[in-house]
Amino acid sequence: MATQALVLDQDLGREQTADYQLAIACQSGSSVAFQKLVKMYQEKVRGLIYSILNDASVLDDLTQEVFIKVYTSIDKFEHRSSLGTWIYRITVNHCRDEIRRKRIRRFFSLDKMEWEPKSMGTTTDGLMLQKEKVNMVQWGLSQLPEKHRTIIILKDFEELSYDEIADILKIELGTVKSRLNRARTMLKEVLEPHWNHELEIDESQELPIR
Amino acid sequence: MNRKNCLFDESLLTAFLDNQATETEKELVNQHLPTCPDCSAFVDTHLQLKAAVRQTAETSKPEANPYLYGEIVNKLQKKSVSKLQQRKLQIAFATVVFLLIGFGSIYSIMVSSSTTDQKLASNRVPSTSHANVQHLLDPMTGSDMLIYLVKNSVPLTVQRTSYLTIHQPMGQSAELVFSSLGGPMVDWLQILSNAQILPDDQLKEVDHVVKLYANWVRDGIRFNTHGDVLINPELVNYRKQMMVMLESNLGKSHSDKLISWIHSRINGLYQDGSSSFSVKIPVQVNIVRYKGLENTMFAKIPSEPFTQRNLSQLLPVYEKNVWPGKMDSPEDVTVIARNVALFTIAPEKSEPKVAIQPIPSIKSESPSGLSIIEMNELAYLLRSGVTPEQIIELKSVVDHRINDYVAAMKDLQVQLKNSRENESGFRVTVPPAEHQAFVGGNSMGGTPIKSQDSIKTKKK
Repeated sequence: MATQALVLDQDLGREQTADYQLAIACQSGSSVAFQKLVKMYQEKVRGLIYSILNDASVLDDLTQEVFIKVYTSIDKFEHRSSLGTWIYRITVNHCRDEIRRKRIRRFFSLDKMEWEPKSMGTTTDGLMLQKEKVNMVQWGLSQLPEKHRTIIILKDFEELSYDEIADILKIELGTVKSRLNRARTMLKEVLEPHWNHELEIDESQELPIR
Repeated sequence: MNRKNCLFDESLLTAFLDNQATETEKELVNQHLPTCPDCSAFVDTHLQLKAAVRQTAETSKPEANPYLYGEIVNKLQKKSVSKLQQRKLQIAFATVVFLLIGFGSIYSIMVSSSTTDQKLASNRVPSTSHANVQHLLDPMTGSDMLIYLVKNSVPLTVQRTSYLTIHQPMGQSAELVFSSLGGPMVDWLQILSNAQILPDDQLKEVDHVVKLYANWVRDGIRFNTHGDVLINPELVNYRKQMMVMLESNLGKSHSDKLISWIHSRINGLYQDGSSSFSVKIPVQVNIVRYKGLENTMFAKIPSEPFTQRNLSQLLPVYEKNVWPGKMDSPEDVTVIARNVALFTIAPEKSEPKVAIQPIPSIKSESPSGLSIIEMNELAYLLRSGVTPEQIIELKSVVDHRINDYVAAMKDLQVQLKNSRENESGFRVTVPPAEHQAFVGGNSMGGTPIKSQDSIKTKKK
């Protein structure tokens, strides 16, 4: 009893936020509130799935499944993290399930990629170079193990804080840092042979385009 | 680039270039970088890498699917509909249990219309303080009277079929209502608990569930016109209390089950896309009839709702005088009006022992041509401080029998004055603590609940 009350008191500070209220409304069974939730998080969830799996063919199905998961387990959401973080966690876990179940044969479908490591062109056109670089990074990410790819995506794609990432992946803050570090180093190593001096000239070329 | 020669913490560098380092950490890194070519190279490379990844993130976004939202919502609706169908049985079961165990045991006390029974009745009524009786006069909390009746084992008669109605217009709070009684569900549960019938587990379960449900729906969620969710801050507290209460009463697994049951009940109420929902569950409700009260309480209640006349005209008056801030819809007015009709009663003058008696002043056949219910309504309005002018103004909109009203009111005012002077009528007394508790538990007032008596007191 006492511990229960304690746990419940933890979310006192969060009561005023719109997120919290939406969560409570959903938990109380309001379907209108839930539709609002879907509207709010649909694109975020979809983008995250796309980044992690990079497979447009299953994207919408998975997004739907994630929201059904959210719907069926909203009762269990205990407000220890923000609603968004919690949904992200479900999304990441769902992607992992998918990978595990091998419904997705390849994490990354190369046929959709115009870029291959060997075909790194010699073009000097800034835009083309840009596009090639993007493709190359995508390819590089696809070469990483899932957990390393995911953490880069959460940090650099979704621009989440370390705390949020720790919350989503349920790992320690220190682990976030070290894994992120490891992941970036791995990515660098994967890209390095193809990147060559490109990295060095980048800085001057990148600015005018972006 | 490989920082072989430097022992500086790499995760600090990572935090630095992710802009996640604390001020002290930033300072550390800033101090260190100029002195260490390895670490500078590391930061440079990683910054470039990060920039490249960010760029990738921005260019590789999936094409938008405008139909996705609709698909998701569709799927969810199917899901909750099938959930709902599953639950229908449970609801039926719950209702049956509730009625069988709850009402069955309470209202099995019956009385037929013989004089011996009447004698029996008055024997059973314990002598009550005047304050109790005054409290029962409150037309808004008619169910308090029922509580009183049950508590004091006043003989009751079983009658009539009723409906348990859940009504919630979009954007407004909902209410569970027994259609022929007007009292919210919660009050009935209050009766159950006050009757001190030890509920078996199932009754307890249903009791809790319905209470929770009613509270949540009523107090919890509103939507403004933009569709934003507005949560009554009370809901958060309610929720906590209820969860703790449920869990301590029923155990974790059981309470989890119940909570999801509640959620599923509330789920899908707006599913058909309409802006309001109304669920009618027919139940065989046993209406209370007290022997001495036929003339006022339940007698001659028209089969159609009392408020078929345009009662929404009365809304401002009721709102101002009766139920501040809690009027949601004409339906609510119906409920209130019915309450007024049902529970306008007065204490008996001569025999304080038999506490509840018909209002002596209102004869069954009014000379003014108004029906007894109309007379009751008038009496109530006058008592609650509405001036005759206001009443006439209101009535002239909906009723042409103004002269009748004027006559009746003159009559009534004299009687009311007399009854006040005799200290038997409508004087306000502070209810005892236990009755305060009832008022507090009454759902109609919402939060924070004012005792009706205190409202009346202010008027005078």
